[in-house]
Amino acid sequence: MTEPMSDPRPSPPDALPTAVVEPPRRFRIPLVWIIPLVAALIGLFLAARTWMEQGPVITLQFRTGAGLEPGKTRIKYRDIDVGVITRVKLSDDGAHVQAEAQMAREAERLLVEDTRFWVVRPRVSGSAVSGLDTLLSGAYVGMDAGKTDASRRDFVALEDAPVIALDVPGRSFALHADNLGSVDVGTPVYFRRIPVGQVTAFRLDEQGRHLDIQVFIKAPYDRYVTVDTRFWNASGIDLRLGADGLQLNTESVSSILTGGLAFETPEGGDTEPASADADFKVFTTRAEALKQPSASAQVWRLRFTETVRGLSVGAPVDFRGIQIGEVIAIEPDVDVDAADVGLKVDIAVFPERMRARDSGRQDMSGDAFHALIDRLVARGLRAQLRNGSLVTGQLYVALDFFPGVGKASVSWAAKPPQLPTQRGSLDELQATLARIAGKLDRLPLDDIAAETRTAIAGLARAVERTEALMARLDGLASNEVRATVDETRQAMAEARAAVADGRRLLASDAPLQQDLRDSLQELSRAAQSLRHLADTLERHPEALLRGKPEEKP
Amino acid sequence: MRPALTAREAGLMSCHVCGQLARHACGAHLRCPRCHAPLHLRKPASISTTWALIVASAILFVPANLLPMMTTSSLLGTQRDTLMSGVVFLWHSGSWPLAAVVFFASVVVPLLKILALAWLTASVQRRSRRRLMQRARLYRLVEFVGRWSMLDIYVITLLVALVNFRGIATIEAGPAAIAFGAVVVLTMFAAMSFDPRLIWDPLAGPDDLARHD
Repeated sequence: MTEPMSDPRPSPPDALPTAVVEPPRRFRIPLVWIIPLVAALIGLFLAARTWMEQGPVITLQFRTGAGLEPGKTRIKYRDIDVGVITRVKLSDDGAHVQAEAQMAREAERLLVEDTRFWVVRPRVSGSAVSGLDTLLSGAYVGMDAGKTDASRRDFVALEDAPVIALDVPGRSFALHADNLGSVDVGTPVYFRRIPVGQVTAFRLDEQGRHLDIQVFIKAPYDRYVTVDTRFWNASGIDLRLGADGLQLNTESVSSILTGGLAFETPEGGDTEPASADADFKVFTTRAEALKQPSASAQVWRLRFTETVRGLSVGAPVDFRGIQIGEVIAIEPDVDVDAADVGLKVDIAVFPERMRARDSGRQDMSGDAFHALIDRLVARGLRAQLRNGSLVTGQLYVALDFFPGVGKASVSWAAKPPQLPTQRGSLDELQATLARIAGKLDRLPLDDIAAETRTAIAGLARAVERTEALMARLDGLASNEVRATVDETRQAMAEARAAVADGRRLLASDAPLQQDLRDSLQELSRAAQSLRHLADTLERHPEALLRGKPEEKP
Repeated sequence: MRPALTAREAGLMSCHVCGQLARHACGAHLRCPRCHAPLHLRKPASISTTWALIVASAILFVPANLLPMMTTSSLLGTQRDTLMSGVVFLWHSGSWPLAAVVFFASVVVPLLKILALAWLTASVQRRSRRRLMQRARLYRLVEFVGRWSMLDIYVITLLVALVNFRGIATIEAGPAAIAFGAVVVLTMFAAMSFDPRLIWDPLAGPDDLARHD
């Protein structure tokens, strides 16, 4: 700045001021290179983090691609995102949909042999509503981590969400049933009306004759499933009309609506917990489930010659009120030799029910048992059809002793052994009535009528004779009796007059009565005055000398 | 093209702040004789600074495109959108013009800016004498466009502020927003640090003064 800046004209280059020279400073690092360094660090950090978070890629096989969107559909485990579907394509044979999923790193150890995947969709069953959030957010893939160690990368997804997560403690049991009833996947299983488990799967067996039902019983209830446990279908309302009347059985209301299974171990059953692969039958009702002990039933054959109308398969076999078995078959029995048609009724008897609780287990098949039955039959043990209900006409089979019946024996040769029978009680009544009718028929009614008529005529004559006798008696007695009656009447008249006098004397307006009342009143007034005087004297004894004191106002 | 007489060739330098012309003097650090601001023949370390900024923005351009730009949480679920997924969504939903605008403003322009600056710097470094006019125009374009590249960031800041219904819907800026903003700012700085006079310097022939000080 050697010149003032007042000159507006451009100065020639020589006239321009020279730049001021500053002493050099210490060497400077070009700071600007810190910026790309920081950017590179950030980039590296992000890349490293992404790489660290990157888990394995798995393939899932679905039946359909419904709800699967690449890049959007998440895989969730315990409601936490553990992966995302990255690609959806048809399988090579076009039969399935294959989806690739990028899993998170922490999900890697969950991808093991028995890990399960399924598409979560809204589901409304009678007992539960699930997956409603997918209505808004779209489907996602659910995952249930397995327990094994073997790693796996390709999975086949389940059709439906599993009912029970793998980590729920409890055990699975296999049941077989004749039909499904109203059981479905997710149907609750009840134990003493507590929901303790669910049906996890069912399928028809290969012959198509039974249904295999898988149930899962949660801990700690699974230990109540013992070797002797019975399962039954607790669906809906069980209304039955049998020889033992009208029965209505239900489980809880929700099982009425949605169906259910129930189980129970009969009293005295084995309490050893069932093994995991134990097999159970599903009975149709609780009564049926509990009435049949595990001991094998003995089958007996009965032969009836009377009608079995009203007897049905399943009808009870009863011994003096205890049900010990049931009818299992009814069929006609043609005896060609004797040209006779009867009815064979097979019954299953559970001898266990006849056994006293404290007695030991007896051999129920040996010779001793045969001898016992033979002795019982010799004492009159017979089977008989009896009427369980007069309204419904249902029959049941009764085993009972009939003393005084003819000799009969058990035919052990028949398969099954045949027990002798006794005609039914109603049948017997009919026979008796017929006998009576026959006897009535044989009565000489006409003779009896004629005899009766003559007897009645004789009777009429006797009555007439009696009347005449009476009339005669009347005439004999009449004169003396009349005199006596007259006297009596006089005496009575006098007595009545005397009574009237007495009554007059005692009447309220009688003079004597009046006088008496007056004098009594006089007397009571005198007594009152005397009391006054006595009072006065008591309070003022001096009044005896000084006279009555002055009244003070 | 006939080279014009430049200030440098005349041994003069102008003050960047007050415009005072001064004669060149020998010495590492010169100052304006009038306002005492630092004097340079060319912007100091122009090429290396520009390179540094270009490299930084190129690095950050990657996460800006890969990381989620915006996290939309609503009752329907959480959605994370990257730049490209947003463009794809707009394209699929039929808003082609909008998709194109977003694509050009957010992906193409920053990318082209980085490439253009890299080419300019590289050619200057090689003292190329070709396409001088085009390069000058390109530089002007790059500098002009820079201020319009923050469109995405504006949109996101507006959305984040406006859509915030707790529990029902919220929008949050993702890490890509920061990276993208950094890319835009860094390219703007790179354009600023680039000295366009360097484009023309090769015309003056080799000169040791071209060592940008």
